[in-house]
Formats: sequence, structure tokens, C-alpha cells
Amino acid sequence: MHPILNIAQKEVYLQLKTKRFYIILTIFVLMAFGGVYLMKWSLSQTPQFEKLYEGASPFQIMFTSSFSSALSNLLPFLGGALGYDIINREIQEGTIKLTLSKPLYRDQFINGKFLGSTITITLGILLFYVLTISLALIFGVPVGMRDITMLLATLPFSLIYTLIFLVIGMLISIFVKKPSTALIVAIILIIFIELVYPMIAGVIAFAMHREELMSATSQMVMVNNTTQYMAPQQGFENYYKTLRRMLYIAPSTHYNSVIGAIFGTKAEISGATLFGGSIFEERSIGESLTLVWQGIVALVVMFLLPFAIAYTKFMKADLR
Amino acid sequence: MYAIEIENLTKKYGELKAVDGLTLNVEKGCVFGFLGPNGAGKTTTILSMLGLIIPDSGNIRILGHDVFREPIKVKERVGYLPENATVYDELTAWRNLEFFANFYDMDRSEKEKRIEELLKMVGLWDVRYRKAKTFSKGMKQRLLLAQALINDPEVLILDEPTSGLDPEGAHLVKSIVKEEAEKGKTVFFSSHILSEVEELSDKVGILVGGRLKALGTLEDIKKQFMELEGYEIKIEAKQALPEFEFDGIIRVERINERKAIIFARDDIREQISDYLSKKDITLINLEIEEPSLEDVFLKTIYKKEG
Repeated sequence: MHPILNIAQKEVYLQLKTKRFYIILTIFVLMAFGGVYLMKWSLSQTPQFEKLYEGASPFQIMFTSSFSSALSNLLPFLGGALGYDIINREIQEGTIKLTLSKPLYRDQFINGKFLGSTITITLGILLFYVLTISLALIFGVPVGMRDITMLLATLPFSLIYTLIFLVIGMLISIFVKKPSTALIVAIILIIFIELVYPMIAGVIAFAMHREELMSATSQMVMVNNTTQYMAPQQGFENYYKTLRRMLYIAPSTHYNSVIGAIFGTKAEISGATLFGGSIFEERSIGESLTLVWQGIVALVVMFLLPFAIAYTKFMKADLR
Repeated sequence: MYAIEIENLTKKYGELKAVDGLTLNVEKGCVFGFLGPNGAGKTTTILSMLGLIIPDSGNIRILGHDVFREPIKVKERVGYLPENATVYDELTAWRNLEFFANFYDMDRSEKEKRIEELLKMVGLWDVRYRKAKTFSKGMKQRLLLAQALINDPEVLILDEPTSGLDPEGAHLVKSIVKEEAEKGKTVFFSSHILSEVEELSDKVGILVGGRLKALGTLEDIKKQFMELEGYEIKIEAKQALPEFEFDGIIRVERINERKAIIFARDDIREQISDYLSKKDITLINLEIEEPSLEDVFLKTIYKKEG
């Protein structure tokens, strides 16, 4: 058997037996239930959001709602949980010395580990997708072929997004010797990238465009029977552009834009669009991906960069 | 032909020189005991031999292949038992060995036959489907030994192989080392158990502070030690012993009037015998007290520390 496949096979076998994998799967199951419940609710609320969700299926609505952002927050934890001790635990337990004393190159070891984790993550995401579709069918939510195609089209991007955090975890696991310390570092880093940084970016962008957003020309408008403070369109767009620029280094920005595009949301959603018509438009998956190619490239780069650093560092490390 | 050739190996961890210009050759078929106190650089040397540690300078060749340039050719013919390691706890004994066997070019039946043979040899055949996490330390060590032998290696590198083992386990390890040596395999093992090194080794190296302080067969090392430290000559006569006053004597320790120990710079037994016969004293015993490996080892360390 090829050394990479041998290591990958062992890795999948061991990872599928870890508690952390089952904890994340349980959260996935709960999310799938929550998502399907949200779909049912959105069906009953259709008249209220008629204009906003015009022409969209419940599945499209679900994957462009808070469910999608919950998923984009959870996937990093799946990647990080599988990556944070991928190397240091083997060093700590001495198993790396056993394996690397066998006829294989160091890069085959790290590639095998990476491949094994990728398979585990793929299995986890696929399981979640299958569960979501099954629950939707069980609860009577209509699921069409187009919905399933769109969902499957998101798989490579959900995978690459999760892999970004797997390789960040790998990197931590190479630099931090103790798995317990590495876990804390990984959690803090993921929380910062996923939650803290977008908040900071929002505050900074708001501070930069405060004058425009709060100017005297701002209007009060009625949306869904509630009074909302509407900034002028130009001010909103400037704020939005700055925010997007700042969030460019956050993987979730690109992931959410790619998922949104696959599920048919308009490429640029301005204030006027948000309150003036549907956020969806009819187009093929290929067209959607063309619209977000920059985001796809950014995701690939964000995955490759930490992987290259982890790889280089591992190749030169003393494995005591 | 040498099985292991280490040339001018140096490895630093920050300011600390773990191994300092080590040069060492081990002949094919030799059982080499690598002695040294904790932190002497034994494990660093062993890990460098397997390419797990990248030295700052020096070359290592095993069976004629450079460890860093041709790692696969080396690893195909080497078996390694690390110190303080464990097997994959979530895998069964069988699955552990199967995982390690998969790295070698063996067909399925050959692999299964070898795994069965090894599990029986180390006494784990009956528990082959039990997860390693349920094993005692001794059982895990035996499984580790089995993985080191999975490829029927020509060179066996063992780092503290009996560390933490019960007497039965230690006996098993020693008998396996002897068996491998009888088959003509080269065994390189580190240990701090002197009796074990004395029992198993054809050749010994003593590493202190990253430097090789003694190298050779046990006899050679003891001889070198005696030449350096002096000879201890036990003497017993029928009559009372006279005063010893001639060149080469460092001091005389009298046990009683007929028995004494003479500490001398050289082997002066002949001179003593002549001297006593001239004085009509009949000798009962005149022999050199050979230093034990422990004496050699401890004095070598203390000399360094002193």
C-alpha cells in the first residue's frame, strides 16, 4: 500500500473514533434540525418576505439565512478540532518515531495525515448534507433536484473552507508542543478570525463612514411595519465596500459569498435591493461561480499559505 | 564492512551541544552497547541515525547508504524500538502491526504470516484483537519490539529496550537480541543497565556529554581503563609479605600480613613474583582484579564531571 494511503486510512479510522468528532457531528445534527425548522417557518412566513425571497426555494432561503452563517462558524471548529493535535500528539506519544522509522518520506507522513483528515471532514459534511435533505423530506419541505445540485455544488467550497482551519490547526500543532495548549490556541484563533475580527471590522468601517451614515439626509422608512433608520444609499455602499475590504482576510467572507452565489443571491446587494426587491436571481451554478471567482481564489490561497508554512516547518523539525 | 558509520556527528540544541563530533563505526553482525548517563546524547545519536533529527554537521551511513540522502534504502533494512514511545492505542495489536507492515513491500499472505509469527514470539497472539490501550506497559513494549522486527531488519536499533519492563519482559528482549545476533544481524542498543550491556554486547561505546569517552570490546575498554587508571593486583602468600619498594607501584593496601592489594601503573605481576621468590616467599595467589563495567562507566562519568 502506498505510504500516504496507509497513513490516511489509519488517520480516518482513528479520527472517526474520537469524541470530538462525535460532538461536532451532534452539533451538525442539531443544526440540520434547526435549519429544517427554519425552512418550515420561512414557508409559513412567505407573505411577509414575499418580495425579498421572490422566486427562491426554501432551501435557497435556508442557505442564505442565519443558518448559513451558523454553518460558516461551525465548520472552522470541525477543521480546527481535527488539526490542533495532528502532529504534536504523535510527537508526544512517540508514535511519529515509529512511523517515520519505516520506509517513507516525511512529506508522505504529513500528506497522509492531511488526506486522512480531508476524508473525515468530507464524510462529516456529506453526512450533514444528507441529513439536512432527509429531514427536509421527512418534515414535508419541498426539495427539488436544483436544490440538491446547488447543495452538492457547495461541497468543495465547504470542504476547502474547513480545510483552511484544518491546516491552521496543523500549523499550531507543529509550533505548539503540548496538545492541550494547542487546543486553547486553536480555539482562541478561530474565535478571533470568525467572530471577533468581523466585529472589529464592522466597528472600524462604521467609524470611518459615521458621518455619511448619520448625515441629515438619512431617512426614516417603514420596513415590515417597523420604522427603520435608513442611511442614504451612497453612504451605505461606501460603508459596505470598506467593510468588505477589511473582511477580505476573513475566510468566512469569501465562503459566505460563494455559498450565497451558488444559492442564487444577487452578486451585489445594495440597500435599495435589500428593501426594494428579491435578493435572489435566476442563473446557473457556473454563472454563479464566475461571479465569485475572486472569493474562490482567496479561499484557495488562504488554504495553501498555512499549509505551505506547516509543510516547510515539519520537513525541518527535529522529531524528538 | 561496517553496518553503521557515524562521522563527526554534531547536534546542538540552542547553546547545548547534545552530540559533539561523534565518530563511531559498528561492524556487521556486531551487538553494540551504547552506554551513557542521562542527557549524554544517546537518543539524539539514535534519532539522527533514523533521520528524525537533522544534525548540524556530520555524516551517517547505514549499510552503505547515507541516512539523509537515501532514507528509504536505509529504513527498509532497519528496525527501530524507541524509548518512551507507545503504539497506536486505539488500534488492536494485529492492526498496529498490519499498519507498520503496510510500509514494506510484502504481499498479504507474507504480511499475515510475519505478523502471526511476531505476535507469537512476543507472547501477544492470544490478545491480538484487543486494543493496545488495554495493554500493560510491558505488553506495549513487547508490541513495540514486534513492530521493530516486522521487516526482518538487518540492523536493529533499540533505545533503552528493557526500560520499565518486568524481569520476564526484559528476559524476552534479551533473548530476542541474542537470537538476532546469532542470525548475523547487527544490533545497536542504548542502555543504562550495565549488566545488560555486559551480557549482550560484543562492543561498547561510552558517551559522556556528547563525546565518545571509550570504545571497543569489553576487554579492550577494561584494558584501556586499567592503563589509564592503574592496575589492581591482588596478592596472597604463605608467609608474611615484605615491603614493596620498586618502580610502578602507586600504593599498597594491606589486608593482613599475608594479603595485600597493590595499585600499580603497569602490570607488574612478573616483577612481584621475582621479588617474592628472591625472598623465599611462596605465593598462593597473584592476580589482576579486573574492573567491572560499572567501575569503568562510573569513573568515566566522574572524570568528565570532575
